[in-house]
Amino acid sequence: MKNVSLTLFAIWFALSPLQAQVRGYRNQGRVQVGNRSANVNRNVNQNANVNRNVNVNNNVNVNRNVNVNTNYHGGYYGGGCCYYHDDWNWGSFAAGAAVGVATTAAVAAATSHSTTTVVTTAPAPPIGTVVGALPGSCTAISTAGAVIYNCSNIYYRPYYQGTSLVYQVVTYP
Amino acid sequence: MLKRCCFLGCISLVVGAIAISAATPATQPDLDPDALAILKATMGSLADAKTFSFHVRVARDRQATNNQIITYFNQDAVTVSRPNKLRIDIDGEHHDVQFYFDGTKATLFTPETKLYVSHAAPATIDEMLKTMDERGVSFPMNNLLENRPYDTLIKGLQTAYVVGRVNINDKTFIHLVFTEASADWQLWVEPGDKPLPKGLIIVYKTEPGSPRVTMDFSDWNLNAQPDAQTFDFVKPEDAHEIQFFPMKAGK
Repeated sequence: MKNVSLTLFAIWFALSPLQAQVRGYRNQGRVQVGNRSANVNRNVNQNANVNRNVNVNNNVNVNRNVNVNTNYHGGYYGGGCCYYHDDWNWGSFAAGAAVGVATTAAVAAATSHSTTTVVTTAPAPPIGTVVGALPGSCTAISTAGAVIYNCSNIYYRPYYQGTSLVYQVVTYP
Repeated sequence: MLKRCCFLGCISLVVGAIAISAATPATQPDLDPDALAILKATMGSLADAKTFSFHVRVARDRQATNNQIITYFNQDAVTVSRPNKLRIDIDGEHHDVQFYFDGTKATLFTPETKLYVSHAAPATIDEMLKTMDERGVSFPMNNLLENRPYDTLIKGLQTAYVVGRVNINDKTFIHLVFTEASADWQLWVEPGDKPLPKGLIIVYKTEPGSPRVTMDFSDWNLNAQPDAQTFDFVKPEDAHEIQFFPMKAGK
């Protein structure tokens, strides 16, 4: 570890501002990398231009109209960095699309954490629909080795999908 | 929390400014020995620690059906005891989840609903992570939890460079950038006798929309002394065991 510390110490000084060579790339919007010990562009941060004209459109109703595309599943393991899985989300968008049954009802139910308006006006979701959250008030029913939720006479069975809970519409047990 | 948010914001600003995500793949790996040395020392800090803990704030992109990128946040508290114990408390946007690995089984538990799933797991963290990954359970900081994180991180690297020293929130970090076939990633290292990760951004450049995962690390404790029960899931009396959702073929 001592050797490592010494190495880091040496690198630390090699990267010191006095030795860093500022290169004229700032107007090209790219940082020059790959030149050993001479690759620090100190003007990048100072010239970062925040666009102050961006305006958030408050009228976009994300919950009802957008469904996360979960068709990709590009995670890999073993070589290199970087896991990517789309199924440990904490949201509820994914569940409907994950099994290809993202009906309007499913999406509405999946995203109505704080309102039941959509759910009560939507048609009953078909058996097999998977949502990321239960609609409104539900009652848990313990059956043999399982738990089912009764939500206005629509029955949901909970599962873990990744680290998230999802609920599938089932027939009455 | 404010500082963490600010750090994430600063990182985003830097990343946006330097637009480094579209790195051109190198035909031959071009690996700066300095970048590898700093990476090795940083991962060595974690590999040398038998029991350690940290917090990480995660911002994770997902692509919506209108191709818009949507970002989710969560805050994880992680405790690792090598070689075979792990606990992660996930403070999510919509619900909290606890993950336990006690050396024999891995368990996910949602306190709000009192639903849990338990799965027999291999005896080491590395093997357990692989097994859980196959079940669809993975964590964005998985690489750092392995017993030899440096060895897996350098596999398949195409480029490794040192951008230099950067100042963020009045502290100085070393900024490293790496590319591999499927991802570009950047690491901010807090230097010291035990250099530690401060920030990590991964751009999954082969995924639609090039989604990004941003991690902001804090509260590193390389000599953690967790309670004996930290890694053991004790089933509450009114908890129910459920199953993993059946995975589609080919997943």
